[in-house]
Amino acid sequence: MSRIDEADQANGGDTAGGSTAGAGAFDAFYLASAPEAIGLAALLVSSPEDAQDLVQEAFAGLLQRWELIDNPGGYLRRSIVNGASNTYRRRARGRFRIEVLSRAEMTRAEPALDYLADQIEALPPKQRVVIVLKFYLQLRDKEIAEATGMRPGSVGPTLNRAIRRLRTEMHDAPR
Amino acid sequence: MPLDDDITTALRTRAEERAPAPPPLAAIRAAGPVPLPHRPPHRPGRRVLAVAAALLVVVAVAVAVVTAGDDSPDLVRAAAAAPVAPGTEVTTPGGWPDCRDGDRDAARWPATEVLTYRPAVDEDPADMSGRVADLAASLVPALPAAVIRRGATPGCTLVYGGDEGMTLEVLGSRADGYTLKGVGYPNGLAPHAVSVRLGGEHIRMDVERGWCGDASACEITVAARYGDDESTASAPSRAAEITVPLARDRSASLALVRTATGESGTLLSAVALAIPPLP
Repeated sequence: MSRIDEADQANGGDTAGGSTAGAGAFDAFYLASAPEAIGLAALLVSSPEDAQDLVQEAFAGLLQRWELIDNPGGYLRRSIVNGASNTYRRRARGRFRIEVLSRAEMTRAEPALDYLADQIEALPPKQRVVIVLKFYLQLRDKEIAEATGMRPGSVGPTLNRAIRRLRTEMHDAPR
Repeated sequence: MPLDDDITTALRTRAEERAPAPPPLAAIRAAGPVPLPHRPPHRPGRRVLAVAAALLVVVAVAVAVVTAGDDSPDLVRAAAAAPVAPGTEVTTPGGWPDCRDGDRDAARWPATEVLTYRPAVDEDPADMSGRVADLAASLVPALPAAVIRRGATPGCTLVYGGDEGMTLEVLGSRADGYTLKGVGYPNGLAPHAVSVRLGGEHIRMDVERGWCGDASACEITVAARYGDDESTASAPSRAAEITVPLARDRSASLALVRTATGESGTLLSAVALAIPPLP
């Protein structure tokens, strides 16, 4: 269970329920789930600005529909994944950005893991999303299907293809 | 260590390195309606609705293609009147309505862009146009203030900008949202589009390639004033996305000015837009 879902349950599972407690429940949900949400967004889009945008829009959308949504954790994840897909499409239209590496990015600790993270970023968008949801959020296949809109039966094969590709890349990695 | 564990570790490490601070809760509460709402998971009939929506889009596009040949100004105005959430800008292919300014026929201008937004409740198009002009003039010293005129009239306005500079136009209505048009000079510029989005601690402006037109080299500068803060960012013409970091204060109005300068440092074109305070 991801921390986003834990945040949902900590709110009694009725985060979308009573309007009197709605504002407080949203705040609590935000506080508990924002760190993981921003991590998810950062892994999906690789740009701090994009990640912030995704998370802000996802939470703003959630807040708007707070009273109507019975699974805020799932809604949040789906919003972030959808937003990331839009970002991929924008990139695919030939735009690119000016990036300034942070100090943390310039002083990476573990070369092999760093290389692996780079290879995950280089995966096709759908495979990258599935890998991040599976291994970062530790979601089950059914939850990944919910977050991505994929058929549940497609999650496993997509995941396997991505892992095979990563295994090959790591095997061929420069030492 | 198995690959699965490696992947988890690599992702967690990368997230720690890359993840910025989450947006403050206050900013989320102030963000207003989200322009393109995401559907909740497991919505009944989602797939059916998606297919129906796709069919409608296909039909709408077909109708637009069939009717686009005459470049009717009514079509331009209809597009401008489409409702847009507060603070949201939508880029659409531009085109001036047929109108006249004195004796000048201004039917067709190149490099037109359309930005649609919903202004504050008490926003007046003419006021907004004047404010854009003021801010543009103050942000870009190279842009002669004299070429920017005030007093755009909703519906059909041409503001003459001279050999280089910019024009501004406001269309639409208070109820449906306004469209602000900016046109860059000179006429040799390639058609382009721009989109601006508020978010996080920054404002991002996407610029289509071709902004520099036929110039062999040029630099794009984006200047933004947000409340009392002013920031600029520059990039070579190949760069297509510019981020201007700013303080987060959505109660302030925003002005952005984009300029492109040629090799000799001369101003090729400039476009400005303003985003009024959120209601």
